[in-house]
Amino acid sequence: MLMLFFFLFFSTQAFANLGAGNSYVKDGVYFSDVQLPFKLQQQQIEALDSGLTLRFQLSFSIVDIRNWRIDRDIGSLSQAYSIRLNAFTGRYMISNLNIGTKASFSSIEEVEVFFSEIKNIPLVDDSILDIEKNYSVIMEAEISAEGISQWIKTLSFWRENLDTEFEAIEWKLLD
Amino acid sequence: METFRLSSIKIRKIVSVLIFLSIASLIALLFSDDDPTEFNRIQVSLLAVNILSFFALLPVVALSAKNLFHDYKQKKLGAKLRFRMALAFSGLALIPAIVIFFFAINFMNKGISVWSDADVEKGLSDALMLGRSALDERIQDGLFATSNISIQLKGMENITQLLENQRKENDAIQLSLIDADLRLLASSSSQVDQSSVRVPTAFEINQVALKQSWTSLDSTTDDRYLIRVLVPVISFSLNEKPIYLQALYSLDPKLSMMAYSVEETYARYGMLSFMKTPIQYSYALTLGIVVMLSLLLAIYGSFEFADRLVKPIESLEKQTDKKTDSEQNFSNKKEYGEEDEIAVLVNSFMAAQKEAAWSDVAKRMAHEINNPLTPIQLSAERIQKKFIGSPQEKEFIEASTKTIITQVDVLRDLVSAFSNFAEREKLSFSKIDINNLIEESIQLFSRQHENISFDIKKDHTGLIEVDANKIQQVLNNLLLNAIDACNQAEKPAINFETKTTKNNSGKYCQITINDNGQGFDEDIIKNAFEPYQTSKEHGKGLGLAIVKSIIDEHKGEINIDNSNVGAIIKIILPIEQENRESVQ
Repeated sequence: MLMLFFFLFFSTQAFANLGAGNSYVKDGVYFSDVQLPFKLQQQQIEALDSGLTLRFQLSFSIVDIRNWRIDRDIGSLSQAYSIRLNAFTGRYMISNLNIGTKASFSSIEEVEVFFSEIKNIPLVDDSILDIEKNYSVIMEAEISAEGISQWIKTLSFWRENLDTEFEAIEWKLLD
Repeated sequence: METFRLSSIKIRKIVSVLIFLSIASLIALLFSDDDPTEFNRIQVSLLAVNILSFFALLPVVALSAKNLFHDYKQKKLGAKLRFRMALAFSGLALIPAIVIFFFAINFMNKGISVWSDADVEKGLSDALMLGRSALDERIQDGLFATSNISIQLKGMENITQLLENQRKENDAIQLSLIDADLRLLASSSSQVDQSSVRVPTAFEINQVALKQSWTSLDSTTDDRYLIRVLVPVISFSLNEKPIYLQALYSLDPKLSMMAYSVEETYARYGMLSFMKTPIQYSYALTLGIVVMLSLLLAIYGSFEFADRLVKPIESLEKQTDKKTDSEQNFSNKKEYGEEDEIAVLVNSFMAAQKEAAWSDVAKRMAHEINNPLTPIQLSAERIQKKFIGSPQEKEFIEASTKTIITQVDVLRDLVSAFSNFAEREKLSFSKIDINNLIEESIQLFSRQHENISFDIKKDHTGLIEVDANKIQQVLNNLLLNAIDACNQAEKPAINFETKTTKNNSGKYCQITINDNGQGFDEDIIKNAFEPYQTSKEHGKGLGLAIVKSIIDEHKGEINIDNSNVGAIIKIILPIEQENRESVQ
């Protein structure tokens, strides 16, 4: 019973996704474009339509992959968005929580298209990188319900989980 | 016993800490953030403290209940009253707590249901629709104005001035020209800072390409609404790439504020409705844990309270019970109609009072009778010696004085018996073989009563701890009674039997004396152990009272009854006298 409780408390629903990412240099800065098969669960759409705010977070880690040694973290970056339905306009508002820009969409499909390809994410200045090294970018993405405590989420055990995690995507920074 | 006391003190300390923690966490929970959706870590921690306290207290209460039930089943002194009191106190706590819990749950659910009340939902929806209508009208105005501006744009010559004029004319806060590569070509803004131009996204540009227009309602950081319109400029292009005109229009601040307020309320309402059931579960669970913990504390408190309340009664009862016999108590139970500790206590008091009265009377009688006996005896002896007269007269005097002296001796025996009953000597315990003691008593009387068959069945082996002289006195008294009872029988027989018995208090030796005499009168059996109860013509009625008194002093038990032939007497004595408890 206790095990079940902890399982429910700490579990998040992960679904298998195959995404892709690539990086390029522009004006001395490495940028990344990410393609994700972004798809909201039915429960998440219902939650959005009810007034809940979802948070979509992308976490990038730049890692120096070293043979026979522990990999070295070069840096990390987090890019977060909030998604909510503006009941007044009936449009889904997406806010980039890092820079404050906002966009609105008339349907969930448009939201999904928006997040399916995220471009021009600045990652790292090339001055701190060694061209000879073997760098990888690892991106983890997750959707979570904002303003709902884990406790209340646990007590919604009969529903699909509002939180989802994407499979991590990895690509070479210097390809 | 010492270990038990120590562990009991430790348990009390632990329980005190748990009670303190629980009450502190309950109070903290009460005053913590009451936002139902934000059941934060502190609240979860506080709840966890309560759950842990509950699970820590549960075995303590279970142990107390088990001990109490065990004592009750063993019929230990005070257990029945403690059991009843604990049950009553627990019941008094349990019933109102359960009633309050279900009422609280019911009221809470009703209260939460009000959130999702149909009227509230409809009112909010209507407010939204009303606001939307007002905004749609404003958006359409913006779209119409922006399309008109785009028609008037013919080229890039003087474009900034043209945009500035059109912006002012159409009451826009920003007009900007953007190419297909999302580059800003020109703009006019009411704000000085040009960098604040919001460049459309590629998606929005694609939408314009598909639908010929794009409108959106953007909210600003200061919670205002902006209408954004994006249309293609069809009258000219740049390097054969399409150009787009973006216009921003502000809403009336008052309307914007109201729209924001309605939208926020609607969103909050929607979120609470969506999370209604888990919020109900959360409250019910919290309330349930709080009630369960409170109940557990109340039950534990009731055990402790009952224990403390009954302890002085138990102590008093133990004291009175030492002075009285349990058989008397038992026979008096019917008289007082109850069998609980209070009735036993009353019985014990009554019996102690009765025994004290008898003892007092015996002492006084012994004293008052003993005093004149010596001068009577001396005077009789002097008369016997000094009398000078005819042989016939002397013979008469001698016979008479002899009778006086003999009767004085009888009276002395009676006084001695009274004294023995009234004054209890301190017992001197030693370990003896009870079978040997019985055989000694049999030998003492068998020579004088050769017609009687004596037998002993020795099933008990080993030594028992008794005052040998007192138990010998008991055996002699009972044997004399048995001899008197069966002397007239055709084949008089007296049989002894010893055996070992056991109960939870320890090991006991049971002595049974069975004769084939006429048995006891039914009236005598009831009060056989009270002083001056006898069926013998010349009996003093103190024999069985003294026997009972000695057995009680040994923390034993004696029962008399009639068998199919004659009387049967059973004595139960504890084998060990240390830490002894009464047989019951």
